[in-house]
Amino acid sequence: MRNKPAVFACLQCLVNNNLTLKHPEQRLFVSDIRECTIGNVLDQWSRRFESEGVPEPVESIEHIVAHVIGIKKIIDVCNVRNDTLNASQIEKLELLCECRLSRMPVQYIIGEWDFRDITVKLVPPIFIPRPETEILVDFVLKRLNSLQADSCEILEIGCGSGAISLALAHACKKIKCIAIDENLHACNLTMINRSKLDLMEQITVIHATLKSDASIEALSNLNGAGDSRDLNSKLFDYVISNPPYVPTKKIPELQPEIRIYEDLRALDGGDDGLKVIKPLLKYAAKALKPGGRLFVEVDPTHPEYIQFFTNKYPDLNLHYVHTYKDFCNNDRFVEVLKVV
Amino acid sequence: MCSSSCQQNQLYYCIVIRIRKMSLLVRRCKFDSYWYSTFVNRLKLHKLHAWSLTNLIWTSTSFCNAHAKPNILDDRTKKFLDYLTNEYRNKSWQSNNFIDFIDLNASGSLFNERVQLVENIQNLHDLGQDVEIKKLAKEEKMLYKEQLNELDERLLHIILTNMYKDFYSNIIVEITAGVGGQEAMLFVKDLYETYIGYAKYLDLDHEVIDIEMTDNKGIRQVSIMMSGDQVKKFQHEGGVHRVQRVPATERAGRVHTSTASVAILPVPSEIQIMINEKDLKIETKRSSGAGGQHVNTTDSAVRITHLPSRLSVTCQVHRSQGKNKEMAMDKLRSILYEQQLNKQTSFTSKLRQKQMGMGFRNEKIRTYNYNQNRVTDHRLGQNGTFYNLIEFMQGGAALEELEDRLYNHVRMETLLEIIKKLESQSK
Repeated sequence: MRNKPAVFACLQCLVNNNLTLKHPEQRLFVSDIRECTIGNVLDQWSRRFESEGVPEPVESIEHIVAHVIGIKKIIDVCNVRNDTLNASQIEKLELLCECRLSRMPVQYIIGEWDFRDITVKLVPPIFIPRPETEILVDFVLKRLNSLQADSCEILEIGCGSGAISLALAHACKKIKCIAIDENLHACNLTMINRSKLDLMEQITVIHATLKSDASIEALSNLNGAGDSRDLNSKLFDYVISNPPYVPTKKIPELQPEIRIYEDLRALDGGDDGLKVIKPLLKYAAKALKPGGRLFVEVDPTHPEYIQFFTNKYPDLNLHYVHTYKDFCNNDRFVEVLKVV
Repeated sequence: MCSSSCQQNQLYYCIVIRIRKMSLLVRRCKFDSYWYSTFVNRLKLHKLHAWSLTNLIWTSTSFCNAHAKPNILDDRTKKFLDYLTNEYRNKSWQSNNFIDFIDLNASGSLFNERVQLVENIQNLHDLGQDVEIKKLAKEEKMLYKEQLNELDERLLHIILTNMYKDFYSNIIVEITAGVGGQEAMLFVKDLYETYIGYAKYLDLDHEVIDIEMTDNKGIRQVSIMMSGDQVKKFQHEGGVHRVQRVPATERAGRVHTSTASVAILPVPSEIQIMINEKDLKIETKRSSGAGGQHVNTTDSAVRITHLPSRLSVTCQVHRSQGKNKEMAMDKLRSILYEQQLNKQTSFTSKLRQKQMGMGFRNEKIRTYNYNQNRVTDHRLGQNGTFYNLIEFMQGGAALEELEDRLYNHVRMETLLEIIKKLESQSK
């Protein structure tokens, strides 16, 4: 962390939503007040980012500018290159740019990102949904449509910002989702996103964890009565998860954006990356209705193990169905069927 | 009609084109009042002719005099209706490609009525010599004739309306710089702004799919997805647009001529153009490395290559990769659709393409002269010139008015073309 004080300053500002820095004299003014057109801001900051080794320098500043002027698509930023920013916009912009210099992910800086058709609010250090996971949702919906059930009960384990559950519920009104996470902040963020998307009816959020013995333990009571149901006896049509699957030894190699800012508990899958996947399989064997399915996102080295696992424990009545690839041709998603 | 070229051509996509819906372009729009009233008046003036059954058989004699007096139009259209009735009566409708743009569901009952009426009139001829009866028959005949005229008005109304019935509700407007270098790209920018203004004026959802900007703030190519009820009002924008002006980059003050071409690509449904996932190569910027939880980028660009046709489309305007992929697929489908239509050389398919605004792609359709503040649409001939360029370029009512005129023009031309074709066939 080359620029540690700046990191803390940024974090503090973001958290407090307070736009003054502790050490304003240290701020590096890139934009000149006299010629502060958006075009100039874009050019100057993208050069600055590039010289400081910040990845995606042009896109970064475009997203930040778009956020500051209140638009969503960076393609529209090009149309307003000749507009000027006012003083408070410049102040905000420079603050956010310093965050980017400290390698904060753009998604946290602008506080939101898109996932399929929905926009989810994102707050550090809750895991930022990756685009691959959109495909996982596609496969679940495809399966759901082919079965044409009247209703569908889904459990998502480790919901983070809630992206998967919310995207599913948003796409299909038949779906009822229970989303659990062991991080209370993640549960809260999911609930914020749930009310923003007006999906209160379809999503229940529970603060609970999947333990290594494949049982689920409720950690706190979020909103009274609804939470007390026993997740260890309820049955579901689908269990879905994007569990931590990065092998621990790979963690130090990750980008600073991930290593510094994201909650590593959402990524670190232990020595073999299977720390959560193993109990997940066992839990799914108990929690799925006969004919129910587990969809899980994994590291490309894992599908082989999952196939081995289902064969090794025939008592679990799990049947490995298929491994799906992501757009990069990596084996990424595994579908497991609970047989009768 | 379903043409599946799968096996033979090693093309694994199957394209289903509904030729039955030749009215593709054809809008559901209100019957234009000008034509309507013209027809109505003319049909009313055109008093009571005898149409014996023999007249129902299509004969070419009366149609040779193609482009003359206005009342010929009535004669021709009436003959045309006779022809259609005959086709309907003989049930040869399905096999007749020229008239499959007529929606039987909408007009079938009317044709039934017409067959009945014509038969009634015919029957009145066989009533013998009695004077009283003849007098009665004559009166009755008058009545039937009046009903027939009324019926014909309704039929023509329905036919013309249905000719423009189902235009797509999603189209991609693609503007590409033509000859003229930088100036052409600046003109693409101007046209782009005109169309965005027009889309806002028409209250359409519009979204840029892909844009290629140049250093001097011009645009080399831009694709805009438009959706909404009113997208048909873009129908006649496809073609080559020519601009004559002193470019901003010109020092000597000379007038340059440059061009931009506009393509209107209807977005077909997933059923009309089926694409096999296995034929696609989908690439993202995340393609290298471990991906998944190992990587965090904001880049959500998607490039799809359709292997059998080697077509490649990109989309990078959305923050969601899934949405970019969806949009790229829409664009791919519309390009494949256009290619498929271009391969068809039949009269009806050409006609359909023209109606969809796809037939003019390489045709110079309009000139914008800045010095004279003039816009000329070459399809409208003498009546195609307007002196309100500035207002026109804002993409509001002025452009809509021109589109409306083009709509009437092209629709009538199309009907006449069909009639002419039928005449030449029956010779």
